[in-house]
Formats: sequence, C-alpha cells, structure tokens
Amino acid sequence: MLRTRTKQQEPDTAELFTAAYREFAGPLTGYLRARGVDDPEGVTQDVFLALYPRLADAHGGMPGIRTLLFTIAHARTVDHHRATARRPLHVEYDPDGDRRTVESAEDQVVAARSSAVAALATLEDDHRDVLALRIVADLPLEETARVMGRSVGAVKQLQRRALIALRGRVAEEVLV
Amino acid sequence: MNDESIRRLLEESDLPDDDALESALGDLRDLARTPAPAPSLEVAARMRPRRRRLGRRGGAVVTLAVVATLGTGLSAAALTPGVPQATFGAVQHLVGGGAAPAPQVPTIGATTTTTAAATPSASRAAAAPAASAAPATSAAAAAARPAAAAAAPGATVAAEAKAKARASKALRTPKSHHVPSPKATLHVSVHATVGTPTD
Repeated sequence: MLRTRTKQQEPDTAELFTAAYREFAGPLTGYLRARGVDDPEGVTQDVFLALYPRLADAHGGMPGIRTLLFTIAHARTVDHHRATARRPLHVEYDPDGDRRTVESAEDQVVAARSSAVAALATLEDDHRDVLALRIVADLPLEETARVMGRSVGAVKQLQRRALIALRGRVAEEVLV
Repeated sequence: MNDESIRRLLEESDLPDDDALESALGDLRDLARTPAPAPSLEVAARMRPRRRRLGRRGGAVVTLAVVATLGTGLSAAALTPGVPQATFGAVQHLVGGGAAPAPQVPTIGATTTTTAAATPSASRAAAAPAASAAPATSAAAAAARPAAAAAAPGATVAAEAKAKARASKALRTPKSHHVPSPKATLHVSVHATVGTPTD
C-alpha cells in the first residue's frame, strides 16, 4: 500500500520540488548571504537536496514548504557558524576599503546594499537571524518563531532588540 | 515584504518612524530578490518526474488484460456469421496452442437446433452433446477395466503394462464425442439466441 502511494506521488513531488525551487531559491540564497554563509549558492543546493525527501510530509502548500525550507536553512547556518567558530578567521575582501578603483553607479547601489548587509553582520547572531527570517525570507512572526524554536512573544522581543541594534549601527555609519 | 510590511514591522516593535532604519531594511529586503542560482545536477535530477516502471504485479495485470482482450475478440469473431470457420479455427489454433477444434462440435449442434426448432431453449439443446458424450466415456472405461482385470492374475509384468496402456487409451475421449467446455457452451447459447430472430 505504502509502495503504491509513493509511486503515485513521485511525479507530484517532482513538480512540487520544481515549483519550490523557482519560488524560493532566490530568497533562500539572499537569506544565506544575509546570514554570512561562505558559499550561499552551494548551500542553497544542499538545502534543496535536504528538502526533497521531506516534501511528502510537508503541509500547508507553498507557505508550509517555505517554512520547512527555511527551517532546514536555519539549521545549516547554525552548523556553519559553529564550524567557522572552530576554524581560523577569514577576512573578506572589502571593496569599500579598496581605493584603487572608481565606483560606477551600479557599484554604488551594490555598495548601499552591502552596507546594510555589513551593518547586519555586526549584530548578534540571534538578532541577525530574526531580521533575516522576517525581512529576507518574508516569514510571518508565527513561522519565524517555529523556525527558531521559540515562542511568538520571545521572537517579538528579539525582533525589537534586533531593530534597535540595527538602528544604532546605521546611525554610526551615517555619522562616519 | 514591501514598504508597508516594513512599516508594520517597525510598528509591531513599537519603534517610531526612522528613515535611515527603514532604508536599511529596504536594502535588506532586496536580498530576497536575489536571482535563483542554476540548479546543480543533483537538484535538476530531482526536478524530472521519474519514469514509472511496472512491477511484478503490474506485469501480471497487463498480461491478464491482453489475454482478456484476445479472448473477447476471439468470441466476437466466433459469433460473427461472416467469419469463415477455417479462419476462426486457425486463429484459435494459434492462440490456444492446438486445442482449437474443440468448440466446433457444439457450435454445429447449436446451429442445427436453432434452425430446426428456433426456440429460446437452444442452450439446453447445446448442452445435450455433453450429456451424450459422458456415457460414451464411461462405457469405454468400463470396457477397458475388465480387460485389465483379466490380464492381471496370471500375466507377466509386461502384459500388465500393455493392458494398462490399452485401458488408458480406451479412457481417452473419442473425437466424435468431444465433451464441450463451459466456454464452448457459452458460445453456442449466445449464437443460438442471436440467430433466433433471423429465422
């Protein structure tokens, strides 16, 4: 019985997987970038490969799949940060610090975005996580709480503190 | 998340309007519009629906369906008056592996009954050869039994074997008194019923 059911679900799983990739691969890559993962594109592939066998258990249509996808991604970022904490520190190339080139208009837009990402990167890990889930992954408060394994009230408080911290960083950048 | 959502997020957190913070959140939101990376080979492989292969049960179902279709077609051919009996016999010989001529005997009997009596009870008439064939078989068996019994007391082993062979030969159904199978009876009854209105 189970065998028959699985065979019948195979084409649907492939269609669902393709639809999920089309809709969420971009935001997921953005989320992983906001969380400071080294290889966001590669981890995006890993997250989708981990999602595939769990698609049959997903409930709630595409919003449910989104929550499941970002739950997996959240776990991957936690693992990534634990692993990097044990490795020697790598210093990223900072284009703002490189005075050998002249910025184009496109570079200026990218720089504005990267400054916001840079400000986010200076926050505590929990603050960074809650803002990335709410703003980049576009998850509602309840789903964010589910992904982070916390209560809605705790996430609301965490979100408030994260926004206050980000406001402080942005104000510092404006002053500089 | 749009500008309205960002404002709602700030209100949710009891934070007054702050243009710089709102702008920073807008930049972060743009990360959600990152183009999707090309799927890796492993991911792309999971996007293709797998070809469903028939298992052992699936194969059995297909075989049954084919056999049933062939049987239905053969029955239809047998019921069609325009199909020559020789062609039908050849086809049935191919499908049935040589046991084809069996239904021909009751078919002839049924046709005779239909044309002679033209009554709806042709199925009973078609079953008659079966009844008449049965005593003939029993008679042959009965004739063979005394022969084997007579040879048994003083005969050698070879003679005994010969008697058994004769007995088994006698037990075989004679060609002229073939017992129709239930399938053949069904053919006859349907044929007779169909043929009635034309008379």
